[in-house]
Amino acid sequence: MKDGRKFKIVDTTLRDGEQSPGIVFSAADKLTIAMALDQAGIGFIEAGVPIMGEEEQEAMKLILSAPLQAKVIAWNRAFKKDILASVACGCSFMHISVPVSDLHIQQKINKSREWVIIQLQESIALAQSFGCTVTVGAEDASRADMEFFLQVADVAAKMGALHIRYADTVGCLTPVVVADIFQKLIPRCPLPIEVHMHNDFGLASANTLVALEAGATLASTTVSGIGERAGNAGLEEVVTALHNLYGADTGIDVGNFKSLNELVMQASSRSIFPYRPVIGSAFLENGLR
Amino acid sequence: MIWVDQTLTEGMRIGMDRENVDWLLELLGNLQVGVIDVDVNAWQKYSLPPLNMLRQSQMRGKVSESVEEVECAYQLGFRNIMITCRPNPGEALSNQVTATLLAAQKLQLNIALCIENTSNFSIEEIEGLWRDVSIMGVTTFIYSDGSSLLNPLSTFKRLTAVAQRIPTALEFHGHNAYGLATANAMGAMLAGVERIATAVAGVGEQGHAAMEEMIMIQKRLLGDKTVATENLSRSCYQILSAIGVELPGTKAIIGQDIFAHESGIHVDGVLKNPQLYEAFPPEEVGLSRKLVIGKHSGTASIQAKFQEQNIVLSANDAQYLLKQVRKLAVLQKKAVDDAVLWKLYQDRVVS
Repeated sequence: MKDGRKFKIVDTTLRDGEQSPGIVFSAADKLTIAMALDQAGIGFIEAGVPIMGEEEQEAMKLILSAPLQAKVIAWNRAFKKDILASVACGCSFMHISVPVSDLHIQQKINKSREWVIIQLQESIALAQSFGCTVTVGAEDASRADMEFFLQVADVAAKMGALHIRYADTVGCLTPVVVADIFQKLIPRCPLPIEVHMHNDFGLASANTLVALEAGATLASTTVSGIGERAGNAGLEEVVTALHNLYGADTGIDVGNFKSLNELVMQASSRSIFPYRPVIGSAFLENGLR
Repeated sequence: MIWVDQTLTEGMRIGMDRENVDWLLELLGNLQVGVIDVDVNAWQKYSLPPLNMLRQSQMRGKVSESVEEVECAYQLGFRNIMITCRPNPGEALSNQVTATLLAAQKLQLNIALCIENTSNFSIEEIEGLWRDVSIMGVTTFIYSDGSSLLNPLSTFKRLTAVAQRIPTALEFHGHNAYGLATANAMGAMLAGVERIATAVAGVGEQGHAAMEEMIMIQKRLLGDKTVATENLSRSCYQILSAIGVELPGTKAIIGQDIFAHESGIHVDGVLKNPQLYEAFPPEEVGLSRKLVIGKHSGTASIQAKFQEQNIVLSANDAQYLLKQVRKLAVLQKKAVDDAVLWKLYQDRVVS
């Protein structure tokens, strides 16, 4: 990976991170965390889900009013009401997520692949009519037909989406499988790929790094790996590994990680597990052996 | 697979209670750990009785390049021994390492040689190293990635190459500075390595591959259905209690909260089919599913929560309660517990 490629982080501490059961960030917490992420050099901050309600909308407006370098992204399902709620907050960067596995399409929303494509097209067009830039999310991509993922990517690319998210929604991928999938996917995918890995088997960061090595260019992470169930790929793990093991660049200042973690842990009413890589006390005390 | 435990070593390093050592060894036995490593100096400081036959076969004493330590291990009853060293790449083993190996061989100990900085060596240098030690009774070579220099794919490649070039059993001992220990250990497994260092929840100085993750990866992702895991979360929880480490609720595989669902989309999905948002059923590791009501809830979650009590909630009531729940959750900065939810409901129904 020492080919000078630059990787970008899409941090979702404020969205997927906050979805970890029991965590609630106040609007003020969200603003402080967003500013700290921005300060660290994170390029994209996924800040929340405006359709969720007034409290979330207030927080979103507060973040949007801050002078941040990072792009602030609102998360949406491919529904008109979701897009309109985000637009009403003043969001100009929209992530629009659709399920792509047949399991999710059939059993969760009881629809068809065709319906998903139409819904996505309409939602992208609606967001763009308000002047918004769009990224597209493919939920449960790891259990989907790769051809359908590529079909969604084609639709998104033709409509001018910035990049597409490949989500391992239940964290069932392994590094070897990721390497295989991305070697096939990268040459055929018309958009840059963002990888969004979950940690159900403890492999989220590894899967993220292997996907980046194979050609993905963006990584979705959360501070300290907070998120649904066992969480997401940890920001600090992915970035320090990229720098130290892969010789790659992210433009992120790792010196901010300790304070960023303390901030997020405090706002989550959680404490840092001593054995959490990079930031846990087991790793800070002695340095590398 | 032979899991080589590092939990006891870490427990002693952080000063676990002496009276918990027996309990810990018993618990590790329940997890079908193949080898239990322990630092001989630490074991001595705990002044525990000499090893009985069972412990002799189960445990392995870790020593550095020191004849004295080997002799001490022998006196404490250790018959399996791990000699650790950090040679300079390209050079022969130091005289001190050679003397230690000879002493261990004279005592007829079962010897594992651990090179802490194996990742700094080229494959040829590792092979060269072997020419020095093959005569000294070493039965196991431990590839230690002491500074966490490997990634999953490089682990696979290097361990495949090393396995072809050495005449003894190969063991992999990775560390977790970048959160890759489990993935690296899996890479070693795929390279054919059958002995892997692990610790419950990945504990250890510089961390290790998490034992519970390796066990479930073996079962779920590599298809070894014979592995029994129904008590995995409880066993791991007890093991961590024995060494005085608190298990985070969201720890993969064993955390109490990994099957707690709050967000509207996820709860709605899990109610339709748990596979939508769960990698495996909670019962498989002895955990249970929980519906948490809070800021991210949807009306379906609220209705399902009351359905648990056989109360059918109208869409209107659910919508009303959801608004109250979200306000309250943000105000108190945490989820809304059952008692409070019940009160909100009664206020609504009674008024």
